[in-house]
Amino acid sequence: MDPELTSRPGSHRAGAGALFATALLLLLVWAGTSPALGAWTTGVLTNQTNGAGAGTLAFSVTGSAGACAQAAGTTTTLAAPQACPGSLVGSGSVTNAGTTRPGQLSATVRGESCGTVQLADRLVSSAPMLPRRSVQFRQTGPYGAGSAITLGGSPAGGAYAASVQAQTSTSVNGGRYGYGIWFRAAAGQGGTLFSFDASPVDTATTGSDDRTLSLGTDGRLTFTVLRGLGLLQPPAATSTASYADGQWHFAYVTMVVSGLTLTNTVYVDGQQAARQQALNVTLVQYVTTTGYWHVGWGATSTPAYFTGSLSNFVVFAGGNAPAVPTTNPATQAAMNTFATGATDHWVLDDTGTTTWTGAQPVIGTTSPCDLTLLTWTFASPAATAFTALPASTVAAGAAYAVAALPAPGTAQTSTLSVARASGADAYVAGLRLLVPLTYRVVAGSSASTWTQAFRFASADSAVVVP
Amino acid sequence: MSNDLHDPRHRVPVPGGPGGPDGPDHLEPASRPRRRFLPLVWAASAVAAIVLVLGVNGTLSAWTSAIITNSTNTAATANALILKESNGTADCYSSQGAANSYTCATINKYGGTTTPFSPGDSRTFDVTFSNAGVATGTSFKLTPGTCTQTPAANAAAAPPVNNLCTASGELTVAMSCSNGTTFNAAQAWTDLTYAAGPPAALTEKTHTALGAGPGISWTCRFTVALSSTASVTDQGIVVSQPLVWTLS
Repeated sequence: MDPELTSRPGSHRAGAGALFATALLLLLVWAGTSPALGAWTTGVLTNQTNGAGAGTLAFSVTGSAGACAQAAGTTTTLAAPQACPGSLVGSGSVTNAGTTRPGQLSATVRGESCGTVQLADRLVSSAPMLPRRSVQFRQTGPYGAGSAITLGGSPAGGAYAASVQAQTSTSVNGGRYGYGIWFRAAAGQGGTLFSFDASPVDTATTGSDDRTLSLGTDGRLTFTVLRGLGLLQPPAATSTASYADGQWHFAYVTMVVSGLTLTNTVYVDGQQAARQQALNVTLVQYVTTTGYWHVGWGATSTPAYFTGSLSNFVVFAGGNAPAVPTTNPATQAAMNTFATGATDHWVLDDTGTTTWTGAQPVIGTTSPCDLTLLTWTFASPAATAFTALPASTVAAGAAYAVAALPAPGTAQTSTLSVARASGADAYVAGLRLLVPLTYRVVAGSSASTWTQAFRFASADSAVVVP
Repeated sequence: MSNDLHDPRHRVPVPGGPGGPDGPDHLEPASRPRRRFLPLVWAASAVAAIVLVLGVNGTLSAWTSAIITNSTNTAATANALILKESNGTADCYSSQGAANSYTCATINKYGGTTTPFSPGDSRTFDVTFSNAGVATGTSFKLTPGTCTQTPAANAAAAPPVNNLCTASGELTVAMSCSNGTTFNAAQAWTDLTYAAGPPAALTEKTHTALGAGPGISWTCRFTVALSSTASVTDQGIVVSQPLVWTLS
């Protein structure tokens, strides 16, 4: 290069350019390693909302006694279900109070057993009474809580009970026959306390029954004994006092046959309340010589059905009845002692959940459970557990699936209906069948422990045969 | 500025011309030379007209201007990596955020809470990642955040509240990835994978042999499950865990 050229101003400009290029290169190197350009070499995505939620299982089943609910986190199983009051018969509901959706739920219903509810005879195990229709058990009685039954109420229809075992009534000379019962009735209540009738149910022809004690609508007690042929009818023994006062009273009636005299005496709380004497003619038999003891119903009195509470019906049919106690037996033990030698003693303190599986009048060994049909359906959403199945079949233990369940926060209608099977004898009408029913819901797979089971097996849950 | 050549006031009279000493009386003798020049005048005029026309038409106008067009004035930015995530319905790009880092709130890989888990539930969630930039990514990293739950674990509560973030055999998360736009379990990566376990046990994972050029995709599958024998104390719990994905 020409030396003179280097001395020209242009050579200075070239030098400055070189310096600028060097600086630019350094700037690029710095920038490439700084965050500004480092971001170009990495791409970052942050998923902030990776969430998963576990559902909740919380159901309630509503029957006649209101909702039976289980909270989320509560597990009950078939082996250890939640006991629910009331009955599923009629209209009820199933509510999904959790967050689990129907697609993740499964439900089944099943029955455990079926039997006819009984009122045990403390002295003769083969002679229980079978209560019908609206009978409330373990009511407060003369001996405290649980010592009485209450008749009347819902479902509609006269409530009563009758023995399954027929007896023969006798009245021999020298015999003392006694019939005692505790009763309580408020003003306006009353009806037949007990009766002896040829019919095992409540359809006897008027006048066919015998030995009836009833509480009239005026609160007075009347004891009647009917003879056959309508001849020489003993007059009824009616008290002058009223006993429909809401208090417990012990009525004790004696029939004493002595020679040609029949003396019927009604005692209340140890005091004579009424007495009648009549000519006793052995050849003229009483109307009912063979029949069934009833409590709560009689064909000859008005009202026929009793409304109120009863306890400890004791029968001395062997002619050896004791004299009236001067004071009422103060305890159940004392009552039992008083009943020593009695033919029958229905304490009426039953739970309503014990059943009679033996033969019954009219139908023999055919179970009422075979003659009663159950249908359990659901609506909104619709599902059918079973339709017109004999109660005995339902009670066999099989699980019946409920195909549709309510969505979270909604309720599904449940309807359990009862019908008498075609051709079933009217004898079964009103019988109370204990068919423990369990509704079970599971969240998730069959192995899931998220289960809730609702068992309706109380006395109130009984299926009443229509 | 005056121009003597064009200023009529300084025009030099032409001898014999109008206004000159020679008047019309001298016209006849002078007309002969002018006739000789007249064809030249006409020819010159014609040439001038031609030149004018050519100049106006461009043939000769290019001669009057010089033009250079630079058609390649471009500048290039450096090649960048852009991470794209898609679950088929929502897309997220790292370039949506400053510094090429974006928080994507529309893709939930644990299933959400709309349909809560019941015992035995197992659900899979696939997300497809791709390199939406022009550089080549060589590694892909998952950095899990802290697992939290609502309500908080409380063994003393009634009913108790389990810890679904840490409890073994209750709520589990499994994760695996493979190349391609769909998950291929048979060709799953061996370095960025997590066998079913509690969410809190998920640790940072890096796939080092990515080689993801522009447009290349890979898919990760999450399997979230609640044990078929899940405790009832798991009920009603919502767990949440951020996941950070880095393509570099």
